Parts: sequence; structure tokens; C-alpha cells
Amino acid sequence: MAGIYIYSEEQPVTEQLLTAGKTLANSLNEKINVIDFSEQDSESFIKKGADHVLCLKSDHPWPESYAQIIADILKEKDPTVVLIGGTLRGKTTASIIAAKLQTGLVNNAFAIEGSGSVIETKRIMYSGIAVCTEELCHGSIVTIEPRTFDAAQDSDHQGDTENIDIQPEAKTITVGNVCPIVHQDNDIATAEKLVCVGRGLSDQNDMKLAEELAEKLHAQICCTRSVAEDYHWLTTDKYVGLSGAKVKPNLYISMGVSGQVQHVAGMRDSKVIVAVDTNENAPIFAAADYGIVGDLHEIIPLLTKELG
Amino acid sequence: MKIIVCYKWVPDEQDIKIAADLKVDMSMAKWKISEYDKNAIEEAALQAENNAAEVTCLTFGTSKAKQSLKDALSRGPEKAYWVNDAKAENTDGFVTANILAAAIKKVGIPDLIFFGEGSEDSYGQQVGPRVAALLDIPALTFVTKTAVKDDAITTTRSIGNCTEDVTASFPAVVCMLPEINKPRIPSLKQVLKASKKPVEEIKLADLGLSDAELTVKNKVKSIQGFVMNRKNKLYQDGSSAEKVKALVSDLAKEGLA
Amino acid sequence: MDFQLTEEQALVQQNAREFAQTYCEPIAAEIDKTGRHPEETIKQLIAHDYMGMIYPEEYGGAEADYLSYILMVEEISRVCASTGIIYSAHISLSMNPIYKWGSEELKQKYLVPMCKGEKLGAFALTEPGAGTDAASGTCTATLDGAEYILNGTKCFITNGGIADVYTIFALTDPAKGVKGLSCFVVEKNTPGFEIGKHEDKMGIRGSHTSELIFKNCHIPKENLVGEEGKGFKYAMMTLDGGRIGVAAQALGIAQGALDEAVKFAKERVQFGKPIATKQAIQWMLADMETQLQAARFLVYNAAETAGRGVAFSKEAAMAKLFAAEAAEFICSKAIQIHGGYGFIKDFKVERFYRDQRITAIYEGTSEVQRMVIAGSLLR
Repeated sequence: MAGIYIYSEEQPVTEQLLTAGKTLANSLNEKINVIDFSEQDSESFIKKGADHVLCLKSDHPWPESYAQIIADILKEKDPTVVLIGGTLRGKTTASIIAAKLQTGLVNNAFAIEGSGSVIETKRIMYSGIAVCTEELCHGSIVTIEPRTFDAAQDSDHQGDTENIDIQPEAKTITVGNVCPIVHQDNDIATAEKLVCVGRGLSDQNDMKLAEELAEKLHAQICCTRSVAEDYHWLTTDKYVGLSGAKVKPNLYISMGVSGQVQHVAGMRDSKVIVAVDTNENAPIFAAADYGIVGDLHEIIPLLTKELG
Repeated sequence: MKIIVCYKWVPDEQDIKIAADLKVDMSMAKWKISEYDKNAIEEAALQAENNAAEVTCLTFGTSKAKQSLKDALSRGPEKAYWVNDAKAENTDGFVTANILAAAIKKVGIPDLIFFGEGSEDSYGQQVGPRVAALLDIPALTFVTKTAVKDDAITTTRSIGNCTEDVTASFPAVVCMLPEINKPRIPSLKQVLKASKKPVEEIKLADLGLSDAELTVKNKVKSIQGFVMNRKNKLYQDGSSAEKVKALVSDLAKEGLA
Repeated sequence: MDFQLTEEQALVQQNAREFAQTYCEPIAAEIDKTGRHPEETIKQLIAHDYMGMIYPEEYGGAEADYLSYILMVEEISRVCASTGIIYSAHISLSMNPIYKWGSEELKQKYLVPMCKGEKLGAFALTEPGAGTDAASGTCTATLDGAEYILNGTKCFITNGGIADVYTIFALTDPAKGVKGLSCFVVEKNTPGFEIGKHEDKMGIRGSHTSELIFKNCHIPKENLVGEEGKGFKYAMMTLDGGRIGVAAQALGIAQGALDEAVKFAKERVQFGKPIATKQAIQWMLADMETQLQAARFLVYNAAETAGRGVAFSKEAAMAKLFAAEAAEFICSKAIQIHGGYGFIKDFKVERFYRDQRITAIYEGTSEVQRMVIAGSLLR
């Protein structure tokens, strides 16, 4: 037995993993198997490259409770590698599965590559200043964050579906009060353009400068961790960084952001990065394509005007 | 109620240097308790204050981690367990979880086991839930709020696009997000008291783990500095207005203005 | 001989550093600019058990060793020298005479609330006409039944106007000169006790320095500390301890300045390279570090000697003399490395340079320290 196995509790993420899976499948000459809950999605997964879809039929509402069942299935299938969607739920599920199977786990891989029978992953270490390249053991699990890859394209690929009735037991857990986080505007994670504010703002009145610029650009506003957690000028779902949102807009303009490694780790996949800060030595400039050293109170209104 | 809080002794990444050949130089790094784990320790300390929890801490580290024990004890726990082995130099989530779970079994499974959301250095984000799985108890991860009632803990998890309240009866593993609390700076009396608190060293050999359980799974091929490929263009000439004009013209070339 | 801090001292040092970074650093520039007393920092010092750091637990202290206390003063001063002196004036100057020579009643009444931080202390020896020549003071205390009546003026008093408890020195027998000097505890708001001029200083501007004016100020007889006529001895012994505190303050400022110089030298690019690559800068940094470490050994040695309970006048004098002069050298070089930036207030070294200057003056000028050191050689 072998094969590449893909699982995410979120269907769009599974479709993204299929992109990574197909490349791997080609270089390793392996089949792609998708584990999912909805029979309706099977066809779409097959079109996007799945050779085999295992459809788990159950109605338990807590995705994490499937970890044991998925572990049991994987144990039987003895996969070459397992790709799991690196949502927060996904990372927890992956950790539990890895422990049950006594196998390796790479969380948050941003790259995965197969060659011959060797699979290598890359992930961030030390808050983003270093990259760790690992050679996977047989059967290792890898989680990949959402939107690391684009969704796989439809094709005329053929495959089949297997239904499995299961009964997850969620031991001693009860889940109540699931409350979607309502984003004040749109989700910054998917924004095309972002204006980011940092501690360089003198006070909350300066937020107006960011708002005016964002309005002109049709951009969303995000911030550094301290602006959300210490100053509370924006909600915590608006902070960008290693433990906050990972963003990859086409344009990212920072104002008063010093650019600590943890912050840069959350925004460095942006296509174009612009930085405005008073401190010419701020690390943000090393992470930026374009930079202006200057007082944001002067520069930002000029920029807003010039963009008109 | 008994709580074990686990922490890791890590190099301060502010002191980590990347050499020209992209090698990671940690020789100048000071070591500290991982910031994320301080949130877990603080949450345990709060449980001790508010619910009379009996809190101990546990770490797996090399002989260097000895320095961390009194530091951890000054932050609230009454006793420290230290699995002291050079293996900690080259470990992974698999081995660390096997060791911590075995150590917890050895000292007695408490009502709650606390972790941070991940370690500050490798940020593998897996040891907490792995330990839960090994002990066959629930794992509540990405927690922003805890409330203990009778023999159960109710947590609020913040998981991307939603929050959910999850209740688990004891025993359970709980992994905290940083926003759950603001770790206090210990008071002087707590610092001085820490040196009188007991420390128990646990030998790896006493945990009864097999060679396979102590052998890392994935092989680290390299750890290298992250290379940022950016244009790094700074507008230095002319007035502020001229700099902004030059920037907007460059943005226009990129199709962004 | 062991030059290592104990595990406990290292942990106190780390704690002090975290405290200073969290509570003192963020407001240091502001209190320097405005001359505001950092009341919020005092609240945190209280919350973290630091206000009675070296005194026994039975009086509400934390019973830490003397070197740990010196580490605390150093770490605070490394980010904010004003807070450093506010703290050390309270701990070592104001409280020491009450603890060492005060009656049990005085300790219960004053030392206990001071250890808890409910009351802040000040120490008043200097007078307009009696600086280094402390024996030429004119402040008097006249016994009148169950009370002493104080008259006279004290000046340059750290925490003056802010403190609740003042350890002051006055002549009970002016004819006897220094042998007629006695030590008293006076509470703020005692009738006849007024706070005079508030000094506008060059440095340590966040700490208040004021004149104290006594006009027929009646205090209970019990507020005499120890015995009449022993005041000069008490003051000199207390100042020995105070000198280590000031030496630690100088050390902290110097370390802060060196930290900034190293950071700046690595970041500042001229001729296409960080200036830290230039030998001219490297030599300055090497000299600064060497001076700093030499000062550190003298300061820690003085603290360790004091902690052992043996005579330490000479050790304290050498520590203060050397640390103050090292601080001036290091702060001056730190500005030199910063170039023009070092001369403007946006950079910390400008403040450090102003703050260090007083350390060669108060608690005995550098000249007085030399007198003490020479005196002990030629005895």
C-alpha cells in the first residue's frame, strides 16, 4: 500500500492541497486519495485530480473528533505521505493523528517537493528568520496553510468514490456556542490591497490617515500585534504576523511599522511591499520593495492625494 | 485540582544571527522560557490563585535548561520536573511528546495539562495535542478563555473564522493562545521563594521508552536564513512630495496605482 | 574567588531587567522632559515587593541580599537614572538609619510602611552652607519637654516634597559641632515643615530635588533615631551604603549608553558600511567596555563586602569614584559614536550623558571619595 492522502475539514483547502498533491503524485508516481465528509464534493475532487475519494459518512459536528477514525484508516492504508489542510483545526487534528500513528508531522510547510522516493518540505523557524528543510519519513503528515497553493484546476480526470460509515466518539467533549467571527470589513487574509498601521502612529487619531489612504486605494486596514493587543485600535483578527493573520495582497503599504520578524513573517508573501517609517534603520525597509523614510503625518496625506 | 504546565527553554530569536552563507548563528543567543509558554504558566498561576489549583511544571531539556527551572518556579508553579537529557538538542514533536507523556504518566496524570500554542523557536504546534492523544484524553487547542467548574473545563477556542466553546471533563490538555492573558513579571518575593521550591530531575532511562520512540522521524537537512528578495528601493532625493510622486509612479508601473 | 552571580542573584537580575524594561523604560524620556515624578512606577515597585528589598521579612521587607539590591538599581538606571535614584534614596539612605539605629517603635511606625511602600522615604543632610563640609550645618533640634523643635533649611533633597518620611540631621548641641549632630524622623505635613524650592536640574529630571524648610517644627521626642550626638556617624555610615547605590546608578547609565552605542554603530551606515566596521569606532567601544567591566567589578565587590557585614567605606568610595568617572567617559564616547544624532534629544545617549553627571557629585563628590580612599591608606 502507498499513496498520497489529502484531508481538510474545509473543502476549498482540500482543492488547494490537490495542487500540491498532483505535483507530488507526478514525481513520486503515486495515486492521490482524498478523505472527505461530503459525497457531493467527491466529483469535484476527482475532476481536480483525486484518484480515489474516501467519503466518511457521519454527522458529528466537531471536526477534531474524526482524528481517531482518520488515523485508523491511514493505519490500514499505510500512505507514503499525508497532506492535511493547515487550518487551526487541521493542525490539531494532524497532531493527534501523528501521535496515534507514531509518525512525523511537519506543521505549516510552505513548500513540498518530491524526487524519486524522497519528499522534502520547507517551513519557517525562529519566528521567520530561518527556513528548515526536512526529509520526510515514510508516512509522515504535513500540514499546509490555506492559500499556500491555488485551487487545482478542473480536468477530465477519472477516479472513484468509496463510502465509509463511521461513528466518531468525542469522548468527554461537549461543544456549544459556535460563533462565527464577524469581520468588521472583509477578511484581511484575502484582501487585494492592505494598509498596515504600527506603533509609529502617535495616537488613535492617526488612524484617520490610514483610513483615508485605504479608502482611496480600496484597501483593507490591518495592523501589528501591539496595535491590536495593547492599544485595541483594531480587533485582534486584524493583526498580521506569525501568530496572527498571514496575508498576501498585491499591495501592502505599512505606516509606522518597524517590521519585527514576527510581523514580517505574516506579510512577506505580499506581491509589492511599501514602507513608510521615520527610522531609516527599521527592519521593515529590508522587507520592502519601496520605502520612504519620513514622518507618516506628512507622507501619508501626500500619498493619498497623489493617488487621486 | 492538579495542573501540570509544560514549557520549553528556547534561544531568544532576537539574538540569532544569520551569517552571509545563510548559516544560523545562535552562539550569542540568550536562552529563555518560550514566550508562548509563559501564557500557559500564567494561566496555571491564575488557576492556583482563583481555584486553589496545585500547579507543577515540566520541561524536557538539556543540562542548559537547568537555568530555566527557578525562572519557571518564580512564575507560580510549586514544583518543577525536568527531564534532563542531551537528546533535547536534537528532538522533534514526536520524540518530545513521547517523553512528556511518559513523564506525566510517571508523576501521575493531573486534571489539566497546559501548553502554549507552539514553541517560540521551532513553532511546531503539535506537542500539546500529541501528548493528549498519547494519554488518550481530549485536546483543547487555540484557547482564549478558560473556566473551571467541578471536574470539567470550559474553554473558548479561537479558530480562524469562528470561536467555539468546548467543555471537556478532566483530565484534558489545554493549549493557550497568547491573547488569553498577559504574563506577569514575578514579584521579588516570588523570585526569592523560587529558589526554595523543589526540583525533581527525571532521567530519560526511567521513562521506559523504546529506541524507536526516542528517534526523530523527519530528518532535518538544513536550517538556513530566510532570504528576502525585495527591491529595497528607498526614495532619498528631493522633497517629500517628490518622493511620494516617484513612489506612485513606480506603483503605477506595477499596475497598482 | 567566584565572579559568578548566584542562581538567585541571576534570577533577580533578570527580574529587575524585565521590570525596568516594562515599567521604567517606556516613560523615561517623558519624565526627563517634563520633570514628572513617576508615581506609577512606585506603584509597580510596591506590587513587586521591591520597596523594602533588603530589609527583614518581619518588617515587611523581602530580605534579598545587598548585591541583588545593587543589581536592581543598576538595571533601573540602565533605562531611567531618575527612577534609579528615587528608589535607592528610599531604600538605602532613608530607611537605613531607622533600621540600623531606630527604636523598635520607630521601626514599626516607619520602617514597616516604608518596606510595604505605603510611605516613600527621603534623606536630608545637606544644607545650603554645608555640602561636603557636613559638620558646618546650622539646622537645630531643641528638646522641649516631650518634643524636639526643628529649625533650619536642608537643600538638594532627593524625593523632597514627594516623600512621606524624611530622615533628617540636625544639631542638638551646636557647640559640639559634628558631635552635636543627631538624626530624626519627620513626617510630611508636620506643622512647621515646608517644602521649598524645587530644583530645575541638568539631569535625573524625573526625580524631585527640593529644599526642606523647618520653622519651629515640633516632632515627638521618640522620633530621635538612636542616640543624641551620634548623627554624624550614622550619616557617614549610611552614605557608605548610599555610595554603592550611586555607583550602581552610574554603572547602569554607562551600560545603557554602551548598549545604545553598539546598536547605533551596527545600524549606522557611512561610506557604504556600518560604522561598527571602522576601527576608530571599535577602539572606542573596546575602551568603553573595559572601563565598564572594571567599574562593575568594583561595584559588585563593594556590594558583596557590604553584604558580608564588614567595613566597606573604602570599597564603596572606590566603586563610586571609578563608576562615576567611567560613566562620564562611556556616555561621552557613546555620544561621539552617535555623531550629530547624539546631541539631539531623540536619542537616549543625550539623556544618559546629562544623567551621569550627578553621580560624581552627590553622596560625596569624587574628591571626597579620594579623601576617603587616601585616608584609609594613610591611617
